[in-house]
Amino acid sequence: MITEVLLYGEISFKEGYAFPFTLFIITLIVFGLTLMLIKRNIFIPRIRRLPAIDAIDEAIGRATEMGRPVHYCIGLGDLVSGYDVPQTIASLSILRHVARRCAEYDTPLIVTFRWPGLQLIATEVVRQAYLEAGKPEKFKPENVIWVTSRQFAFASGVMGIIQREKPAASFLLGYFAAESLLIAESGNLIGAIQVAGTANSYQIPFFVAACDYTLISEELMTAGAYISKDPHQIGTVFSQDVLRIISIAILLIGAILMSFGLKTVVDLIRM
Amino acid sequence: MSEAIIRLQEVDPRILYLLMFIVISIPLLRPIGLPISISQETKSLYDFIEKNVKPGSVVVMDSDMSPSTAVECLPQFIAVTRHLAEKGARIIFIASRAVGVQFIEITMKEVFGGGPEHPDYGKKFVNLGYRPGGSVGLRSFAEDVYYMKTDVYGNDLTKLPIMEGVKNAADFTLYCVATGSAVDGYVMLITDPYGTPVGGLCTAVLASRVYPYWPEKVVGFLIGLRGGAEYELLIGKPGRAVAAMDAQSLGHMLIIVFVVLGNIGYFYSSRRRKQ
Amino acid sequence: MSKVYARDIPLAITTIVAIFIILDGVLKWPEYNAVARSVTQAASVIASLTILISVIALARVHAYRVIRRRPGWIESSLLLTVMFITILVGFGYWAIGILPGENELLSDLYDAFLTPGDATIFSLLCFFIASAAYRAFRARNFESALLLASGIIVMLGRIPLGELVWGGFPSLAFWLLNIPNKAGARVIMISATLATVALYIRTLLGYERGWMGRVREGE
Repeated sequence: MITEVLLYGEISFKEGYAFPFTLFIITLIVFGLTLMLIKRNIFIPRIRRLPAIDAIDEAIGRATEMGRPVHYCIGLGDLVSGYDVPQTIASLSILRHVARRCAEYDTPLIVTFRWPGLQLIATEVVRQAYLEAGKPEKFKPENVIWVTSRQFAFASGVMGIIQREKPAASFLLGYFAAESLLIAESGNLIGAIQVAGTANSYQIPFFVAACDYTLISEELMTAGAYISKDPHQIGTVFSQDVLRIISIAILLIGAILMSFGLKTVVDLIRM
Repeated sequence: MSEAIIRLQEVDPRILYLLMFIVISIPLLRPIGLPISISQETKSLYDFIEKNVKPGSVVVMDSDMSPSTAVECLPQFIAVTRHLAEKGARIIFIASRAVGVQFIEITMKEVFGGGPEHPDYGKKFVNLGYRPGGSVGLRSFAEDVYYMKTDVYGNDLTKLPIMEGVKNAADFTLYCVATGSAVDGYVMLITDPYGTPVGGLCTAVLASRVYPYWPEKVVGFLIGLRGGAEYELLIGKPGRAVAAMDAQSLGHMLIIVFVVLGNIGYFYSSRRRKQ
Repeated sequence: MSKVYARDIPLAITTIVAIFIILDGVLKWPEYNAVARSVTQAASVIASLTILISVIALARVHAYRVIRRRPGWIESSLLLTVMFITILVGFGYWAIGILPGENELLSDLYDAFLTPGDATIFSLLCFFIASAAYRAFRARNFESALLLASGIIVMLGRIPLGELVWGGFPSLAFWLLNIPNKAGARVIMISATLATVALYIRTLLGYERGWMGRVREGE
């Protein structure tokens, strides 16, 4: 390991974190510049279509025509720590949109989740959506269901809800693990149109196999920006692509230099 | 006949479930004994332990298992622990989730024949129990192993002979984790800062997530039941993983047969529609 | 509810704590690191208390169903009975000085119900993967044919029967997992990380507000 970089007195960068921190500063600069350009109307970015998100309205419409409810599952994620937090945040953004559509179309919405801390948050998101649609009296708090905290008990609870309530549309958006296929297949067996998305890469194949539309990793995280159509939010997605290009450049340069036996980029990254 | 071929793509799933039940149960009750070859990722973990683990080397065995993932990971965990015990390593058991502790106790009983009452407990192996705090707890443990203070039975860690000379993750020869979720966090918090390699004992579904780290950061890993079976054969002690491989083989074959039949039905009906 | 209370204060707290924790991740400053560790542990403790809210909400919903004899009231009464028995066993023994870790009755309840229950539901995956694979692995176009072929190769490569069919399956499966899969997995990991950074920056700037709950559109 490269030695620590001393900053001041007893304060130093942890070993191996100087480069990541520099990259973080570059990230903030890229985001800041993009947002500044958008604010001054110099540049308005666009992102490509996400068929899975476009299918959400179609699925809710189908449920309305069939007179059956819509099911929305936030998954296992919490808002405390770990890889599941961004997925849960993304899922709550999409929930707001779905709840609003369901309120507008008078379609019952059932929301399920594993982490008990989401009880208040999800309830407020859905309640607010119904309020914005002008139908606060149609909101049913008993339809925002904390199933249980245990993974497979949660899976069996959601499978039971799907089998009993027979939703015409089922959205599985958030952090999912082994129960992804159980829930998706249950929805498939009752003929629901399913839109799923997770950043847990090894669960994506199961969703692809069992669902009609799948959001793959980053598509889930950008869904909130896509739905809002706000140029500033789309600007952050554009900045993410700029960072991707920077990462590709570093990888390519590093790979070429390594082919000649030069470990410059590797040593720089490990700084 | 042509109707029957077209209907191959619409077989009732209940028939598939029934056949799957039969095809898996029979070999479990009466194993066939199909030969199993050793894959490279399993061999690399085995070779690493053979070359680098010496008597007195400290290895951490982290049980991040739950009852669902233990079916695949527990045979791996026991096989690797057996290997480490034969090499004379000092084994520190720890659990990343509360339900993982029970599997450590099962492993200690199977490999050493006992737990805290065993004469080698505290000298050759120790059970630190559940380490709370997720990634924060892992980082704290890696920085200072005495973060745990006592083992699961209340013994002061500073007084146990097994902990002599062990301060942080840099003193481990290997950090093995039996998990069904991800090894990324372990690579980030153990390998990158301290240089200690990670050994993965993973469920089959996790394999695609572990390959990117192999072989530089994850020196070797076992994939699912097959990985456990391979390791049992490498150490010369076939156990429950080897016994279950026949069931897995037939289960896979059944899925492949139905996939092929489904495609035959699909192509036939597409051709009929075009005609 | 005023904008300051509903939006600005939670956002300010989130931003300050986020910067505090980010700096803990990169800086080596023992006193600072110790405080950050306590803050993170405190967050976990606070998060655990949310189960109280959810238990009350769940009990209310199911009690209403039982009292009004709505459809499913028998299942609801079973749920309430089991929930309260477990809570009573845990707290009851704690009240007389037996900690949850030493509570044998609680641990027996866990071993008798939860462990086999988890394993049973997980084992359903075996059947569902069969039906999902049968339905999804159809060579409708080039991509799905590629998915089908690679799926069959990997499945055959990972089982002894596959090796008996053709000895080359294990090497081919290994190549598929070690080369194309490794590249694809790395791409997804890097992309997901970048998307997470973008999401967090949107959150800190106040654009993503789903996690806040009650915030009106346009606020």
